Amino acid sequence: MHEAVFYVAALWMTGLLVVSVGLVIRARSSLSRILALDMLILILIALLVLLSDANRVSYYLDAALVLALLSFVATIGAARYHGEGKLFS
Amino acid sequence: MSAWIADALVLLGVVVMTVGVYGVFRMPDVYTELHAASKAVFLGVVVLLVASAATGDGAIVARAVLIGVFLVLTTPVAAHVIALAAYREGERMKTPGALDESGRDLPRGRAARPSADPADGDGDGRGRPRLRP
Repeated sequence: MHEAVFYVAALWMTGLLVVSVGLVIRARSSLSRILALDMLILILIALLVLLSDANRVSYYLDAALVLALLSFVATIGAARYHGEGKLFS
Repeated sequence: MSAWIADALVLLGVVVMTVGVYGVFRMPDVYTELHAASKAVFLGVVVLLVASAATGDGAIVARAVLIGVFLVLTTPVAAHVIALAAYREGERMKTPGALDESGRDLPRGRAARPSADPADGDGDGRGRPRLRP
C-alpha cells in the first residue's frame, strides 16, 4: 500500500514534467526558458527520488545527485553567458 | 508508523511542487517566476527527500542528505544569477504596482533614496504605486 503512494506520486510528477516541458516551449524570454529548464530538472530529481523510494534501491539517488550538479553548472553558465556575454570575468 | 509519515510527506511535497509549477505558469515576469521556481519547487524536492530518508536504509539516507545539502547550497545561487542576468538585460517588472528601487523607475537623482518622494507621506517608499502600462 505504501509503494502505491509512491507510484501515484511518481505518475503525478510525470504530469508536472509534461507541464514544465510546455512551459519551456512557451516561455516569453530566454531567461524564462532557462528558469523553466532549471525547474524541469528539479522535477526530474523529485521523480528519481520517488522511484528510489518505491523500489527501495539507492542507485536512482546517484543519478539525481549528478543531475543536480549538472543543472547547477548549466544554469550558471547559460544565465551568465546570456547576461554578461562571457562566462568568466 | 514511519511509513505513514513518509506517505504524508510525499503528499505534502507533491502538493507544494504542484503549487510551484502553477506559480511559474501564472506569474507575469522572470522575477516573480523565480519566487515560485526557487522556493516552492525546491522546498517540494526537499520534503520528498525527507520522506525518502524517513523510510530508507543507510545508503538512501546518506544520499538524500547529500542531495538536500547540495540543493540548499546551489538553488539560491542559480536564482540570483538568473535575476541578475534579467536585470542587466533590462527586463521590466510587469507586476502591477512594482517599483524598481534600484533606479530605473525613479526620477534621476532619487535612485538611492526612494522614500524622498514628496507624495510619500510616511517615508516608507510605498506612497504612490507607479503603475506601468
